[in-house]
Amino acid sequence: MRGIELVGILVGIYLLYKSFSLIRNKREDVLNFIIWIIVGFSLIIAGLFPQIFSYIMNLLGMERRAYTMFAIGIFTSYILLFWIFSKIKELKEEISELNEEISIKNSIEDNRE
Amino acid sequence: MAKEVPGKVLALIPAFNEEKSVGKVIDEVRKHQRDYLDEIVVVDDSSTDKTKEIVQDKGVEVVSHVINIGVGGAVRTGYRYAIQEEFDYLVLLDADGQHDPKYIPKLFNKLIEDECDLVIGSRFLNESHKGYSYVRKAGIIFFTKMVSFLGGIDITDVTSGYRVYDVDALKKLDRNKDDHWAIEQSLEASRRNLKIEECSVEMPIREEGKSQFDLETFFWYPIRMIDVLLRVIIFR
Repeated sequence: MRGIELVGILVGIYLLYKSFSLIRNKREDVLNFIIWIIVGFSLIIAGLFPQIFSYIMNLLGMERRAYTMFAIGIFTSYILLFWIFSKIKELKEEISELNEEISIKNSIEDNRE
Repeated sequence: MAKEVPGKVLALIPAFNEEKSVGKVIDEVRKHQRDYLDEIVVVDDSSTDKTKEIVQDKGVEVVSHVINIGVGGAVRTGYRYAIQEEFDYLVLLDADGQHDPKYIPKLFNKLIEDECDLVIGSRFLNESHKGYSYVRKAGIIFFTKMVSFLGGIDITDVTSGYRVYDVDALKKLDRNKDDHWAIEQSLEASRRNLKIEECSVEMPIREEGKSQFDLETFFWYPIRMIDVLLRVIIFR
């Protein structure tokens, strides 16, 4: 087993452990849990059976297994980044609306007192 | 003596760290309270100076943001307040003293007489814009031309925040953005066939407080211009 494969397995185990502990304490929603479980298992399987990447490498028309791994990682990161950006935007809007509502509510209540 | 404006009128002053000027602005706005206004509200965008205390000492209603959002956010809160408290008209003016309240009667007369939905105070219908920097003037002219072209309207100062609204028209508009809200709002108003007019209003360069056109603004200005341009074109 090469170093990079071992690192992949360790990162996969860490993701599984963290996801399980977060969902057990109800601090993560099910969809996020499923996503990180898939990523964690994928890393472990890729570390234990690196020949899988040879198949994907041929499928994508790439020359090296390492490049294939990085390419998949980068594409997945783009999707996650996009999702995170959209989520942040959505949350910012919600915070902004709450800010408006709370400030007006406080002001009206202060006047009543 | 009866009020000059038929209906309930709110003067909205969004403020962020304007302790040096907000008191004077309130005193000036109050001169028109009897004839034109029913209530003055300052939306304090979570100022870190004494803006809120000064406004409260003046006995004026203050709506305080829990967190700092930006001028567009403060304006939104004011719109929400006007709609929620069932005002008929709203006049929006800055807390930095750049918008002279002496023009309130002129703006309202235009709104009522011409049955407009929105009247914008324009500094390009007089000489007061001449002291502005070339970058600022170029930005304002560029956005004004763009909105006039895309919206099929004829205005001269799209970035002006000195505005008078019919609150019913405000209800038809989407939530504006935190920055450069005036540009998108003007375009959206034109797309929704709201009647927009302008009045000549002098706006000399501000003397008090911190100008929003500092070095950082100039650095980001081209990027923000592209951002607003794309937003306007995509959502038009």
